[in-house]
Amino acid sequence: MATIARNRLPDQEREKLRATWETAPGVYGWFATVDHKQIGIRYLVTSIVFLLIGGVEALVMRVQLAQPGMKLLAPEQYDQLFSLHGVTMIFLYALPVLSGFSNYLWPLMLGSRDMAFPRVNALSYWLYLLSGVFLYVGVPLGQAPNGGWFNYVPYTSREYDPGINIDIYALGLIFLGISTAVGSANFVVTLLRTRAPGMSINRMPILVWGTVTASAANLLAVPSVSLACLMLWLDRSFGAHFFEVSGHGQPLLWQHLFWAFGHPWVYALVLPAMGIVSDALPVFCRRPLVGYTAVALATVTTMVIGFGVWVHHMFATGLPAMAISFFSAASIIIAIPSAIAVFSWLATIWTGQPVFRTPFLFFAGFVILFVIGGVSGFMTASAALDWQLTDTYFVVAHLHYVLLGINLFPVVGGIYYWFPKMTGRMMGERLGRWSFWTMFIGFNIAFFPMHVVGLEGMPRRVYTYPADLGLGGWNLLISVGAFLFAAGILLFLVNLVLSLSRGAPAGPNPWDAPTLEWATSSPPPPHNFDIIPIVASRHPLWEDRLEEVEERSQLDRGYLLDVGRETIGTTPMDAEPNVILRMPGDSLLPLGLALCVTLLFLGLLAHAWVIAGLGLAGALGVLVAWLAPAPPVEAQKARIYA
Amino acid sequence: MSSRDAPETAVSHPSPQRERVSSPRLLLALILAPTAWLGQLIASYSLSSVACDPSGSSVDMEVVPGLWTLLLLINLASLAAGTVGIWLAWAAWRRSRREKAGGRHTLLDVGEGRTRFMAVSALIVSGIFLVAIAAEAAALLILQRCAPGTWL
Amino acid sequence: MPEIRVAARLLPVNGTGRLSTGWWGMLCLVATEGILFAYLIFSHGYLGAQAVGDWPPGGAPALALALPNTFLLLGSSIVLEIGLRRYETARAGSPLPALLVTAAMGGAFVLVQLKEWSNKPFSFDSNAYACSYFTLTGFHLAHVLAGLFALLVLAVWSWQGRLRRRPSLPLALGRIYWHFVDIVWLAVFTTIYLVPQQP
Repeated sequence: MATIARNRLPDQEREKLRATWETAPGVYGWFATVDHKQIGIRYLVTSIVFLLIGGVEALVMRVQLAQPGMKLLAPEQYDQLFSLHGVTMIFLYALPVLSGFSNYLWPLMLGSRDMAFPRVNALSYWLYLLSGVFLYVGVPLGQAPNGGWFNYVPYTSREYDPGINIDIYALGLIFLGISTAVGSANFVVTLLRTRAPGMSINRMPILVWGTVTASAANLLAVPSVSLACLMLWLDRSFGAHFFEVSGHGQPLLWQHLFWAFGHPWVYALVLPAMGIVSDALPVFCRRPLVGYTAVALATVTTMVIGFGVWVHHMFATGLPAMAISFFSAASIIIAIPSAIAVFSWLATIWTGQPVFRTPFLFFAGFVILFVIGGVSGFMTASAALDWQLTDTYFVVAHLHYVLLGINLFPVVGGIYYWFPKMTGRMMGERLGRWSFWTMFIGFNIAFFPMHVVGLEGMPRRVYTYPADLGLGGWNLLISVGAFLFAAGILLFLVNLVLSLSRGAPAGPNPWDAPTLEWATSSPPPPHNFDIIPIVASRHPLWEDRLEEVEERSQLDRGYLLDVGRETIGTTPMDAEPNVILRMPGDSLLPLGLALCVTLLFLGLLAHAWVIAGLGLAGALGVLVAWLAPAPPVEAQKARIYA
Repeated sequence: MSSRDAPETAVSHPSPQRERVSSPRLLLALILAPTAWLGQLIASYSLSSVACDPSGSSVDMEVVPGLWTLLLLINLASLAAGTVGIWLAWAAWRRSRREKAGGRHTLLDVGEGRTRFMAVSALIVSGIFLVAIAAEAAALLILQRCAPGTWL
Repeated sequence: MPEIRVAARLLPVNGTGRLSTGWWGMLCLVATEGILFAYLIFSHGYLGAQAVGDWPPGGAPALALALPNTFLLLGSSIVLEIGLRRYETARAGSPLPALLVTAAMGGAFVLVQLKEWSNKPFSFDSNAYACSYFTLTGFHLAHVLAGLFALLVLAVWSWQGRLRRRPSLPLALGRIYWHFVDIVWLAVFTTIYLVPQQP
């Protein structure tokens, strides 16, 4: 193990750093904090609340579908439920939960003291929270989005859907898109500029690769759906004809724009989660990840190919077979990088000495679910088969295997794994195993039979089905599985709450893990590291044991930077220090800007132009205050501890 | 300068051979094949849609004469670009392979040596995308028509 | 025993240009806005490719106003670039004149563009071409207005003496954004005005 000599820095110095970086106490601090750790935890908690809301929506639907001809829900209620369920899970849970991990972990993994733009980080959270609430404003009125998560026109044009349901969806997604865009830009710049000295790009954890890939993709993909939503809103509010055939518009344009965003987005929902596994699974196999370089590159390659497969969602729309075949080819090729990652994980388990703790179970379970979901995805990449399967429960099974399997299982495993870092306490192991097996078995009982009912011809998005379809038995089984799965989630949450107060103390590195976040105390101090580490390899805490490299990382000597809130800025490729970054402290500007943007969108929703104008003017005012130039500071000699 | 004056010098530079391959060259090796693939896909899709659509009645591509040949040329150009990408990556790898201890297996597992890491990354990326380009071209060669039969 | 001391090398604090984080953040903004325009142009082209009948309806738009206006906007970028370079190399005492002239040229572009809009025989809800035309040019116009706002804020800061440092980060960011808005106009201009012209 590299030398982590604790308390070498005089206590007085540590206190000085702590006082400099600590968030102000009380209500002000609660609203003004820019600490990435607090923001990360807020992201995690908020997204899990949305997960529970989306989960309850799913359970209600499963009661309705448990038997043929049930009357629990009216068709319109069912439409709103499945739309809200999809929107909530895909937009408000799946990406934000990963942003939560990355926000919390990135500066710790990168050996830095905060994200590149701490206030933007806070802004992105507030926008996320408020846009999430915005997407739910229609619920009390019975006017929630009801066009499914991909919201096809012409179902959703004003003629067929005259309420504000779809306006909420369209404006809500644009609103959320702002949060995603600023958050993504923050990740990209943080990666390029704030890695610890020595952490060249080939020494970054895979989670970092996954998140930066997803963030770059989001910057390029999100504008597509924002534009589509704006066009839809213009069609609905001002009689535009983007999608309206009567005015020479094109309904398929919606599908192109939506999926040009949608497919990169689903990769953005899984790549950081795959990164969680690539980083944490090896710790429980007591060896480094097999094929680090290949896995890092597979991550990037998957994303790039992910930009060229969007038409596979549109195979059944009557496009020429020639055109379809190009996208079918790309959709099949994308299996190559996924397979590289799978074989790396398998080889890591096979050649390691697995320790069967709860996180390991979740990560190993993830590999199985990924393979099942991957195979069904590979099947639907073939246009001929897709014509048979599209819009059936087979696709529902596929997308739940990939999204829950590749997102939720790594997320829960990741929470078991990093909970000790965040709270200083271990989560319960016994309850952990129970939660895993309940979730895993419930998940497969709920979703595997969906392949069968899909092949038997049950269409998706129907509020009920006739008894003579003969699928009542399967559907009952699916519903039972769904409730079992929910029980597993509940066990996990019970474990979480109990462990907060009763968990065993963790210490800085309870799993004996190799990366930098485990080199600081649990929970970390507000300034993360007393001294910014100097990195010599990808496994700073395993160097003595692995002997992969001759040199040793330095964790107890290096840049101290204790004059105000400072961290070191480094070059994008090789992480050579080239600037001292002075970071902003607590600020109400992010919340203020987010509230102004909320006002803007509420005004647009209600067609109350004065309110929208006030929101816009307020937002511009806050931006001017935000960007106001600080008095210039002369170049300095950095304070070091050496 | 010792690490008592400049802490980052406590460890040696992560890419001692960075001067041996210029950054623009490395970048080109990394992005040439993916860019060629994306260009091929978008060009193939939009051109074949123009040829096969507009009224939805055409089955042969000869509605616009010479279009299939144009598509073929685009596909061949993409294959060529992908091959150049591989070659650039290979050359970069040859120049930087001894950047840090260990051969290619160590590099795949451990990833030490930033220049050669990027070179071998370019090699992997170009390889995958060359396969993708070939698969796209195969679609063009196998179908040769807008649609099998007259289902349109 | 280690002790607290200072490093031998001077390091800039926050820095400007590529040393700063703001410069990279601006590039991210430009990337995401640039791709937004790519999607807008794709949509316009898609609607055109699928259109039944004339596209644009009534023939290609006239260049009488748009072409001079294009040169006006490009000229504003050149004025800004020269002015800021002179300021950075200390040949000019203040960036204020360059900012104001650029903003005036940008403002004139907006007025000409509004005139162009009012000359159109169709309105926003006439047909798919009309709404795509107004949306694409409207998005660009909104970006010009945002750029104008930024230029004016920079002018105020400069007048207050808050941009004394050379090179100054806020000026660099405003400059990237304004050039971006101009380059995007070339793509929009090509899509709307040049592509439909018959030789």
